[in-house]
Amino acid sequence: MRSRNLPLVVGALLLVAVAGATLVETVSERDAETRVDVAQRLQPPSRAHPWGTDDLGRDVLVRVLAGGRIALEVGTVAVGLGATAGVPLGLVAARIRGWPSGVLAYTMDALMAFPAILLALAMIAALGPGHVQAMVAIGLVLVPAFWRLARAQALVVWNREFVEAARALGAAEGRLLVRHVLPHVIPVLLVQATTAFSGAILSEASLSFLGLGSQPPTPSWGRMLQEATAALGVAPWMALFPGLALGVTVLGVNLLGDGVRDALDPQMRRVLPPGSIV
Amino acid sequence: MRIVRVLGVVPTAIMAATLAFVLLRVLPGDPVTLLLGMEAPPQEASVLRHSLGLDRPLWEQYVAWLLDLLRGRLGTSLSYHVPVATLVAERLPVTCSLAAASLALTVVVALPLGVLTAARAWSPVDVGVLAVTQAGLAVPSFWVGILLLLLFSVVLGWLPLQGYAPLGQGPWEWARHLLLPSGALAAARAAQLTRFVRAAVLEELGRDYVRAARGKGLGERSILLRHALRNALIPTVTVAGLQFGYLLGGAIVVEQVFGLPGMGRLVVQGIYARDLPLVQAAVAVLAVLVCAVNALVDLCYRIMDPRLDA
Repeated sequence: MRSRNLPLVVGALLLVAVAGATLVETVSERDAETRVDVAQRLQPPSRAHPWGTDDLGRDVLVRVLAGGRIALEVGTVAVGLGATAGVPLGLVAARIRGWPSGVLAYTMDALMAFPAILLALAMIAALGPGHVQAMVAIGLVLVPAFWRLARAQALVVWNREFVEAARALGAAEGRLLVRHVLPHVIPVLLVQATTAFSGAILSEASLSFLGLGSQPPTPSWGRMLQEATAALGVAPWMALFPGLALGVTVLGVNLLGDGVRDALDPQMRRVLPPGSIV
Repeated sequence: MRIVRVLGVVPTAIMAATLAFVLLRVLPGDPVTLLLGMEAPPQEASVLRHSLGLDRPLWEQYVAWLLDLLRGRLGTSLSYHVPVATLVAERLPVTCSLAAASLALTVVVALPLGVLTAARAWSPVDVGVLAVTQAGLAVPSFWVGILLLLLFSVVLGWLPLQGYAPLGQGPWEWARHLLLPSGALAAARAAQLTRFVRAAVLEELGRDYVRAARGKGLGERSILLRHALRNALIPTVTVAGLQFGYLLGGAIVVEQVFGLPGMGRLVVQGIYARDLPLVQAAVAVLAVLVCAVNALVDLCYRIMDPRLDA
């Protein structure tokens, strides 16, 4: 690995900061993020409430930190779902021939042509609004991307000589797949996973902003921003801090992805010097 | 040959319509239960089931749905009690205006910025622009919208806070209402396209024909604009065109910030109201539209680069 991979370091630091702050909030005070205090409603940032309070007198800083937990959960669950469904399907698709493979490829390509938010919305319409439904919908939307990448990568690796050699030595198909093909597919998928992770966080925020993701009083960043639009003139801090937290988290994941890509394949980015932060 | 390529959109469009059907009819969950609630009297449920055609076999429903869609019959909305086609005809121009204005804004910002940063690669200006685009990619469009609203409508009071003015009320009002939403929607896309144009121009600048042009004494300006940019434009058109689909998707969310009466609000309200025919038809229309735009982009790409048809 490169000795100075700035995006990797900065991205990882940002994420550790977000996760750490979230963790501190989680262990410090039970249910502080949903504690209503009407006497303290719409207070500007102060010593007692560094990021102000919302329309129900809840502390914005505490809610933003609790929202980090939701965001990281959504990213993990959705990417986990997308990868566990998409990758095996892709690996299998790389080995099958004939019309089933064609139909599958056509379907997946067509699915990828649609904006993710439209697919997620259609799925929410079928499943009903909710936090779990949103995670499932976002995870399913991620399946085609994982499928396509796993299949493309596996197609290349299956034809490499070392796979041929292992087969000649009598290795069974399953062993070839797990011990020889999969290790070469995983690095590329790692980069894809970071892209999917930040995309999942943004999608969840969008769905919650539309009122179709996590429901009150769960402090999802998207939901908080929706509540903020109603009080934009009187309490701009309600709109500022959740969005800032969202941006910092996504930036961290994106940088981490760039860093992983640089580290794994320095040739992929000849145009930009590897290890550069931008 | 090109015609054949364009006809390729037909199966994709059918696929889009199928998708809307499958998602809302085949997934677990009974639409009638969704509509009436668990405790609805069975008689009422069966009447609604029949009027929606849900008591027929699934394949029959599917064929009927495709044929109706082809004839522009989108069914009747359960919450608005008017034909869905009327609602779509009202709302689609808003969403398309927003997406088109955003696309124009994206290209107007990204193209010069991408060329400039490629020409001055790794200068402070370039690094600054790259940093800004990296940040632009990380923030959601609706948050950018909220910030723009805060600055230009709440604090400065220059632009309207909410709503939409049709083009019929004069282009000035129309533009005033669309400026902030399209700006919000364009921000992330412009960031992405700037980075793409920069990379594409830089790649062209490294090619042999550029070295040949320099060798024969051509000025840098001419090399950049007449040679490198022209070649870099081919992939750029594709990327910009494919962004239109994402802009349509993003418009769904941004409409909500600015109170624009577009397709996004229609779909979201339809989901709240459990208005199955409305959601199904609106999703299908948007999906088919994305397919059509993608096919158009493909055609443009082939006209610009005839080598692909050879």
